[in-house]
Amino acid sequence: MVHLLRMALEKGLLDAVMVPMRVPAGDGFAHMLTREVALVEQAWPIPPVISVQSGKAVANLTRRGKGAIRVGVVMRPCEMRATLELAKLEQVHLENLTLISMDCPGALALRDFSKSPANEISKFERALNEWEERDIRPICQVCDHSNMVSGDLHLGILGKQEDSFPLIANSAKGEALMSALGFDQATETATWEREADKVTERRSLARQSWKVDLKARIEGPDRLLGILSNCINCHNCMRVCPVCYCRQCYFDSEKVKHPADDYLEQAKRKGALRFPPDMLLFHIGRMTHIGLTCVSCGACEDACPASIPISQMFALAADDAQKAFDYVPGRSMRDPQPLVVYKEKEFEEDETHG
Amino acid sequence: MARIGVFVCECGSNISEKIDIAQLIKHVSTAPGVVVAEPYRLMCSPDGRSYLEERIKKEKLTHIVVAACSPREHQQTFMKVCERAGINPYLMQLVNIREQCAWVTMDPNEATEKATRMVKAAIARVRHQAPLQRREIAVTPDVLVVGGGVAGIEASLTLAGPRRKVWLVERSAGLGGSVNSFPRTYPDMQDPRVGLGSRIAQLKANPSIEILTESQLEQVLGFFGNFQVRIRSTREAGQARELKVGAVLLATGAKLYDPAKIRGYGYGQVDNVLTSMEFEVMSDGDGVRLSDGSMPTSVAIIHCVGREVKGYCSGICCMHALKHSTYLKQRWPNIRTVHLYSDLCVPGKANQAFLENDVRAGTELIRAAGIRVAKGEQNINIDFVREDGAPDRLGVDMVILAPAVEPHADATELAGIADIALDKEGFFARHHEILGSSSSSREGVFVAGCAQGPKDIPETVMQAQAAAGMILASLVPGKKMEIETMTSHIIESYCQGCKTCISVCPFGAITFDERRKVAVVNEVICRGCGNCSAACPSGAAVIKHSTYDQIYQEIVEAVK
Amino acid sequence: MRHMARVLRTPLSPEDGARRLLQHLLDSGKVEGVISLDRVEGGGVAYSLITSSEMLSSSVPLYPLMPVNLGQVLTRFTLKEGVTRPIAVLARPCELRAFLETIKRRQGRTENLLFISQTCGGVFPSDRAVDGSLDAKLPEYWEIIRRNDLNSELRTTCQSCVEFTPYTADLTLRVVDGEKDLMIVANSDKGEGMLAGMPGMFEEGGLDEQRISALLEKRRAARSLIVGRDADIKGIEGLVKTFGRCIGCHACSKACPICYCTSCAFESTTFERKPEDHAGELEVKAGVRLPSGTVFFHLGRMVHMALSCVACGSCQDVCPVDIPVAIAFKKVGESLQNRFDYVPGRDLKEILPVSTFNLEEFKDIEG
Repeated sequence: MVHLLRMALEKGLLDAVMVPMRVPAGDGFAHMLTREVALVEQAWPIPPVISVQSGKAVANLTRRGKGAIRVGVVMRPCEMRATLELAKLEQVHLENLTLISMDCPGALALRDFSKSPANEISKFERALNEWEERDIRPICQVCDHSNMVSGDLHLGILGKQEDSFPLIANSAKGEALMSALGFDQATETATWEREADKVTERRSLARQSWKVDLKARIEGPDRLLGILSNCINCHNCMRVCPVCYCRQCYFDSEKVKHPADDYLEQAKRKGALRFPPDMLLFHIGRMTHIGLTCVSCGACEDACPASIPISQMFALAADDAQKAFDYVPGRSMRDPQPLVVYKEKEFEEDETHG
Repeated sequence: MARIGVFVCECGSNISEKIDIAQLIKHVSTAPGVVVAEPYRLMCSPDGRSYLEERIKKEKLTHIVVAACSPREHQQTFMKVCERAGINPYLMQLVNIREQCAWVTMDPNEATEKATRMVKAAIARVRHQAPLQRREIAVTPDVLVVGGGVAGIEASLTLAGPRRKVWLVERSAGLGGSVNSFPRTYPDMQDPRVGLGSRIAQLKANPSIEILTESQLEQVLGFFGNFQVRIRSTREAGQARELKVGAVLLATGAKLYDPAKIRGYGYGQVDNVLTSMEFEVMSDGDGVRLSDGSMPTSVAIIHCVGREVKGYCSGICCMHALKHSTYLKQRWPNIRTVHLYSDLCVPGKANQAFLENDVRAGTELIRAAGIRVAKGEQNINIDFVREDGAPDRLGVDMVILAPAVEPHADATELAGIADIALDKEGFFARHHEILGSSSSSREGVFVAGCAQGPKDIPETVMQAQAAAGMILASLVPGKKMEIETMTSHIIESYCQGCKTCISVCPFGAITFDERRKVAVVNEVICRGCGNCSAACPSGAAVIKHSTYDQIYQEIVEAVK
Repeated sequence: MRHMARVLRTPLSPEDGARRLLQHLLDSGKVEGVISLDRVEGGGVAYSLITSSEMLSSSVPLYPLMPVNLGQVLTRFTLKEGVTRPIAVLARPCELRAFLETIKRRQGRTENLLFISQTCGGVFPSDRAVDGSLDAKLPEYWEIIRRNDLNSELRTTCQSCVEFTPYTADLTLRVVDGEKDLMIVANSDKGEGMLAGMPGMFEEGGLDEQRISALLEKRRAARSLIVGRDADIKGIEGLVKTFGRCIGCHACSKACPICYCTSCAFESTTFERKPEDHAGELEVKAGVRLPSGTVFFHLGRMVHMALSCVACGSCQDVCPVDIPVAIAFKKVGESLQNRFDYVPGRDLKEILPVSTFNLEEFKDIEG
């Protein structure tokens, strides 16, 4: 991957790249926009943790416009998906970006990394070599899109043959870059497809049983409140979410702030009112707003100070909601978001008729 | 500090016979901000209205709640009282304790309790209401009429005047449309082109009407009262004109279904099988002949060609068919004329008599199904199944097919240019089947004639005049048009430019400011439907007079 | 604050006594609600506005946890309008100070609030509550308090806190300088009136100054140590080292009781990247971190609120990558506050330094 980026820069096919790099203190990772080959050589195309979801970083780069420089961006499939969803919402402009993904072994929990970077790095190296789910985050263990191709280029790590990986072009832009770099179209992708399918199937199976278990844990108001017991309503999950794009969240706005007497009134009705209020409303409201766009990346769970399995809860709801619309967020720019599509006949089995 | 006045109308006995007015007043008078809470026998009466005005002024009320009937009845009434009394009409809330309470609740105690909740909720809401200004904009009274047939001609003549210019755009080189091809019309069997010619002459002589033949509508921008349209000449390539008009009327007519699409009718395969329209042209100057030049001795007219495919009855073809047989019998009494029909459609006062006359003259009417037209040994064989189920055969010299009436091939394109909806049959859709039958789905764009659906000439003229009437009533020269007050507004600092609101706006009222990357509402086009507000996740889009606070406070109070 | 005050000696332990006090206030009708730490569904601990005496029985007023800074809760509670019915609030000194700082900025109102505070023994970091190990730690927590000692498992801000006696409370519960029986100090007539009817005996007295001084010494020593160790923010190198792993989530800002802006400047369009800048930036820098402004955000936030920072430690608690934000801000905050001889939340009448103008000031810098 690094080799590819270096060549692209040297040949002037890209003006810059955005890649994850380790921060100076070595206890974290950050996205770096650079055209210096020396810096690219130090990049970590697949870092052990997702620090800032790449979708957010790409939005930071291109929200206001496509800019004048051609940038190659390297990211995980879930980050790629978030990026495409953001493009549908005008938060990312893709014209001058070349999006490159790779098969993802999963990521480690963010919180653990800074505590012992060396330890975490070796755990990740093992995950990368063995491609098994022992140490990766729970949400990654059940990820059924870890080999998804939806950008311009995809590095099929799982199709490794001797020392080379198949490079798969998914768009005209990708093809053009590949041929300009002198890479042949991957003639043999059968190995990659086979290995990728194996992983996807294994994780999909895990996803089925995980869903059943999680649903039993959180079903109904009592259990839901139970799992959210330690939630301090800090809204960190919302802020790190790549597809929560509102400048000011509805649940932080004036609309949810009420006079003291109103709160007292509410408290009197039930005997007590938890503060800050409307914690459950926030989660359910956020689920309503982004459930159809959720890419199960786990950024929310990484950021939660109360260690609530929030990405898992959202993934559970999102899966079924997205399936109802036959919508896979980030699969393609040609899939419009369900909210803006009108179909006269839809959900007839659910709609009541006069 | 708000000084809220609550006025409960007894509505004669309509409200007071179910709701305990005294109780209601007692309970609502303690709501915060209420300084006056009074009953009145009939608030909408002249006395009631002056009483309300006087009380507002005397008590220096700042907000009003009127508990009475439906806003559909008297919203405007009480808003006017507020204006006369010197307070903004949007600081008034009318609560419907008649239709929504007294008239639908059986038990008086329950009715009183419900009315109390409703009024208290209204008080909570009104406290958060903000003054809004009614606004008017200047409009142009001029009109663009597209289509130079009967509908377009009649509408233009009705509309044009010294203070209103009409542009009439016609695709072909001449005016008159389909009627140009009719040598006679039912039931009087006279030549309509005489009258049509004189109407066209009047049109050309009218200084307020400009006729643009060989021209087409290319673009419609803007909104009712202020459209900007582009007309392109099909003659001189590239010649276009931009016109400013207040309304657009589409009267582009329709065409006949192509019977070649149904093989069984033999059109295009069997000789002497014609469409109704082809027969019209042939019969002009009595030129009715077979392809070999001889006179036909028998003519069959087949109805409902294509009706099953289209799914609707075009309504005029039966009369049209009877006109053909009436003509043939009048001109050549010995000709055999036979109709093969599935149902006969002869509505209207004169048409039944027309049919009976034709039958008396010897025309045969056969109810038939499973019709197949094929070349026979001597002439044309028509095989069919009779009403009793038995197969039968008819041999005739000429077959006239009466096909369904359908939209022009480019109706969809024109609808796209005018940004109006089509109905399920592909005609320009009416805004409302009963109350908006000459309006399209887009405000300011009207429809008349067969472009909206099959109809005969009197109905066409009626609809054209109706459309003209709508335009005359709303685009009055010199008068401004009031625009919607309760529009949406997008708070710039919250807008992230995701364009979801733009995708869900049914009126195209939201545009995108590329520089600031935010969505902006055009308050003139906005209808205040609320789609944008519902779709915006961050709450940047807010609807005036339906703000979050107003609705929330109303609900909280209602469920206490 | 009166030093010779009326003190009620209750025949109850501190936790029971605190609960009993809240119950007394509610049952006697002196207040219509109390805000206190409470056990909620699922076993967690959160602040609640409690209006029913029955629900009060599950409250845990002195639980050593700060799920959110109560000052922020009070600001949220009274932001739109002051409450019109009397409410009692049990807050830690830093929470009370933080609330006062927001009142100075018109973000809250004190009307009808009765403030009960404590000589504070500190709280645990929230991850201890999450892993369920906190309940088991409680006996040890109280034992250390009895010994008047330091607890190295608490928030580092608590370990290094020297502002653990409240300034403006109506009632102070003697916790770190407590005895087996809960002692409640009435600091105002209003406070004393609230105690009428509580079981116990009144005495003249106040806080146990000796024990407090002793603890203060220990805390001061701890402060030097902790600030020296954790607040490595000298120069760009220090800042990059400490804040380098920051993911820009702004959790610290949102948890902070002082950060009151509904629309933070660092989240507004003002600092948004302009696409035409990228090319130019890459001319002068080898690389540009995305999202940008990592350290800038923290410095900016310091400029905006450090003068009011009460070093409660909530910011550090919520940081997903465990940056010692609180200690860094404490260091800068206290140093700034010292320059202005300003203690945030000490007195509502003390105006924010940024709002005052002195003609002659900082002669050592300005000359």
